[in-house]
Amino acid sequence: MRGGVGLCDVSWLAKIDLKGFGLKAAPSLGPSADCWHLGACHYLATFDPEARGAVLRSIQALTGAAPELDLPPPVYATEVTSVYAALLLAGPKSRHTLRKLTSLNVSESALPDGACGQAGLAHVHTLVLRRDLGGLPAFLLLVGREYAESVWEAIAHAGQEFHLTPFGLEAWRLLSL
Amino acid sequence: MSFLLRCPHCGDRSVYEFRFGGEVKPRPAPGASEEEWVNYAYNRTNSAGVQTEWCYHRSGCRQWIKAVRNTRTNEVLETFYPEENAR
Amino acid sequence: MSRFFFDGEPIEAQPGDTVASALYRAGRRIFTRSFKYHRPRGLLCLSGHCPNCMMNVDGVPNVRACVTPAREGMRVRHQNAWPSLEQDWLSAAQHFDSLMPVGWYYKTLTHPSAWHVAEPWIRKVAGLGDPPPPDAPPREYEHAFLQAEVAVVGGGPSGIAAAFEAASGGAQVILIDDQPEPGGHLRYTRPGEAPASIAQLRGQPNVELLARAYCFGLYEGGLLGVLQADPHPGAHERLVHLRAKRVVVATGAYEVPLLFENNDLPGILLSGGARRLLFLHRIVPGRRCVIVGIGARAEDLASDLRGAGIEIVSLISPDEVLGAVGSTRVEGLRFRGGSVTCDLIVVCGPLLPDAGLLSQAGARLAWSAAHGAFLPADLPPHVTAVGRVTGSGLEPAVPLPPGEVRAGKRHFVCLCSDVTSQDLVDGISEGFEHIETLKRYTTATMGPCQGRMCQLPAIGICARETGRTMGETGTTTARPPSPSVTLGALAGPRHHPVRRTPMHYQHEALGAVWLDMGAWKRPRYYRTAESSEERRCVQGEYQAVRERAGMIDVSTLGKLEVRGRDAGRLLDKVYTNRFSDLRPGRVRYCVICDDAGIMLDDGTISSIADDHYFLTTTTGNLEFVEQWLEWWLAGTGWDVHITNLTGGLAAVNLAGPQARDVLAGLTGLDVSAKAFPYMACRQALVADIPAILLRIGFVGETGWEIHVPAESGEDLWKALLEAGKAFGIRAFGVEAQRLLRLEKQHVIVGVDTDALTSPYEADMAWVVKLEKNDFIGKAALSRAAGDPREQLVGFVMQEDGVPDDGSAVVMDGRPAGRVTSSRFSPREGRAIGLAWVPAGLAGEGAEIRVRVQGRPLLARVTRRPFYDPEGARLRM
Repeated sequence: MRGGVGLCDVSWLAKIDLKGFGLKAAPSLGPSADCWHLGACHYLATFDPEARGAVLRSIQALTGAAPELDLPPPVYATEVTSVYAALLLAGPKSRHTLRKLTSLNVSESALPDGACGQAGLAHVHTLVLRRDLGGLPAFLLLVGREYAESVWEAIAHAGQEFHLTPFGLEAWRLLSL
Repeated sequence: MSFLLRCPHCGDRSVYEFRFGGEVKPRPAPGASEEEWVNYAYNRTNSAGVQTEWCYHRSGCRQWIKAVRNTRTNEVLETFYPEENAR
Repeated sequence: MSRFFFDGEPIEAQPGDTVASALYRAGRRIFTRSFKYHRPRGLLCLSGHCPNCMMNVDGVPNVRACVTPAREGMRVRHQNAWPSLEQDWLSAAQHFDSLMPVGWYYKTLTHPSAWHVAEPWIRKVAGLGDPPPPDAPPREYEHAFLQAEVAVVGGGPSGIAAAFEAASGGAQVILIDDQPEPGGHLRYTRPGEAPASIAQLRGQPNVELLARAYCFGLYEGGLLGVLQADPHPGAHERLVHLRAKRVVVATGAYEVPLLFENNDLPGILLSGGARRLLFLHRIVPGRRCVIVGIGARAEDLASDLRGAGIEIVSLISPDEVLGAVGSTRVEGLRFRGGSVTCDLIVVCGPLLPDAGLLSQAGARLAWSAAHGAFLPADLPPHVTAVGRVTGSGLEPAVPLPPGEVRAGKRHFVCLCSDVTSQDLVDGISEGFEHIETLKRYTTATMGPCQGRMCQLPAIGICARETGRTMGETGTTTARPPSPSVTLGALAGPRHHPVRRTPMHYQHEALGAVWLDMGAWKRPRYYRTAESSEERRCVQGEYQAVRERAGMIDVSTLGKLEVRGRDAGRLLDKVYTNRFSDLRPGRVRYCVICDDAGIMLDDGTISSIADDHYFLTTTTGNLEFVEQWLEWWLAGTGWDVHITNLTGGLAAVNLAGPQARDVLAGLTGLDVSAKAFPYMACRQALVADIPAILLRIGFVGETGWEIHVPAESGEDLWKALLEAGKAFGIRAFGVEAQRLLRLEKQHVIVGVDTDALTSPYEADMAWVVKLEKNDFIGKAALSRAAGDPREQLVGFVMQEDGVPDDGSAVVMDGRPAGRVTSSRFSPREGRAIGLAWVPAGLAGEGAEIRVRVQGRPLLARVTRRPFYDPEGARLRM
């Protein structure tokens, strides 16, 4: 996978959808969570389920506004862990694989580490979240859970040219170090 | 037809990523005449020139925006989020 | 070295050979037969422009052999000749050319039945090549999406220079070239002189080279369509969508033939074709050669050919030439003042800018006599042109318009369609004087070469015959794709998105027969140990629901969470009934109309809290409802936020007289009729899984719609099956559900309603709350509250026969209405359904006739549900 590209199912990652007029600026959720800007006043938090406690406390601080105390406009948090399947595409050839599937510009300048974009990927609406892994370019691809199997097949097919290999938790842990 | 629209959030995208929502026109007040309602429901100005229209970024951020476009040349002059209280 | 097969015979190919060059080296001179007259044709351009080398390669028809690299094991077959290229019986057509003048369909086939007799025969012999047989192995096509700051089309000397200049300036460049190696015309005019610039270019990190790729279209917004051959071992073709901020067109110039008698004979080569054979493939095309051309071009060519050992018999000026001599190959040339024998004629044809892409981008084409060509002008701001495509270095080869037009039946202007100068002159004399109408009447320029070989001489003839200048005559409109593109490449990888519910593999294990609903897979019915036959299985499922308990996977329902201080306000605005007064723990049926009062969708809305609602929509309409709600919200500043939960929740509808017994065994929640009445919603653990339960009834029995997180869907399904075993529970599919709901006359929006249906016509006046403040459709609906002209009614057949969905309701022998849904009901013993009928026939008991397999059968209108009209079983 280091020479080409690998694909890993990380749908177990926790995801929380944040919306509200109180989100005109990016919320800060602590070091355990990544916060992705999906639209005006719309963010998605992704994090390892083990950090759930800490992340929920940060979110509570945002959403616990009491209108009668004249605090900022409310923020609504919705649990969407089950709504999205998450596929991690990683390796030097991950961009080459992606550009066979989506018209989203995933070049280094257009989508640097930590940036996100939304577009069709294999004809399915996808959230593309760039989060490099162990020095390798890597992309977290979020699709509606019902599409997961179908999109996996499309990515695996496009990645054949680069000898795409599926990888599991062990390899993921090793790369994350 | 393959012109680009600048989504305020996502940047330049192909027009096919959007769903066309029709020209922007004011909705009659509840007590308006039948003629005004019929005109609103069934008639379009359909300008040959600059018009303001609704676009839904269905392949991207899934937000509604307004676009000002010249229907003769497909030049998109401006795109913006709908202003508050401007329906 | 490699070996491929031509018509079953092995052919040796050297490295770098194309299919055509290998066949030529092996001695072949006839490569195809022409479209109409089946005249023998040989290599002419060697550059993929003319139609003379088209063959079937590995099952793919109409492949240009002269630009297709030879591969080990390739199977090549000839086209358009029977029994062989050397002996084609259909070449007898030439003897009947007087019966086939220009526009002959309109002149010869004038008797009313003539076309019907002639058409099958014309179809048999028409066309070029055969489509692949149905069992041919599928070919792999790919798509790719690239972005560039600068796209350079054409890897010849000007293109390479332009790419290098842009890259040195820091731009990210993509260079597109259709040959295996860049270099353009230098590859066969100055072979061995690989410019230093190519090596420099390869060294630049911000330049990407797409080789063996041709650009077939330049579209709005800087979009280029590019077709790349053999991108990697696993794919045959790749369609590249390339977005560029700036486009540099460096496509160069191509050469076209000269016009004289028998100018299409094998053995006549364009100067560029001869050079490609000599310098790219090291093949000597003949021994005794006549060059048709003047000036330095002809001299240079003579010197190149002599250097290869070819005897140059004569250099002849084009206006001296009368015609080539020979039957299946060149044997000599006749000219004013005599004739010579030869086995090769090389013509210095006009060089024309390959400006199609520039025309597509909106450039004007202006005639330049000094260049002997139409040159591109008025380019749009983001497009530039460099090199020979601008006309630089080009000179006229023949005067245009010609001094006189030699109209002859063997003077071929359009090689693709066998259109001669005689045909063009006749077409003009018949009144088709405009170049666009002349094109369509004669079909000149409408063949595989897309006008490359023939447009210029055709315009020349048109100008001369109508007394106009070349500029006044003008060109025909250039449109993409040019060159042509395979349909398979446009379609791309054979992958369609499939949506599977969390219980998909449970259904597989239960013997589901699948139904496609959009991209969703749903069980239509389940095969049992006793039967696989649909009707019996559906009946078994139906009986289970009516008599015991049934369970259906309804995970495909659209599900939206609507939250915010103004959530109730938005729902009141968008839906026809009231929701701001819906108490937490209650569910209400909901309908959306547009401002013309037309029904757009229906579903349910449950109140979780004052500022928190849970919406369900029909399976196919979720995207629409989400967009619709967001649109009415846009710009209002209301505090409402909508989240799509569809894939995140698995849902099962458990229904039947014993559904309560099944459910009670899996939850601690009090599910008695008193504690959990009809149209209530609760949250509780079911089989230890956190669930939302909605007590609603689409199929007319006591039932619950149970929603759980998707990852627990399988567990819920298995738990229900297990708990239901003792009660004889059955899983039921979409077909059984359709029948069950039909007995209750429950309307399905989009099936029983259409783009003209208001709630009044669908017998749902109760869902419209006109006393509300403004909502969408209120103005139209308050005006329409009177008697509608058409009504949706239930009916039961009085005779045997099951109408198809969509069958006509007839009155006095004429269609008066339409059946929307119809199924055989075991309970009634006859077919039942819903139908649109005129208001006059909408009364209870009215007799109507329904057309079933052509016969108008009797049916009776029933306004009340066929099953449990009071709805008592729902509320138990």
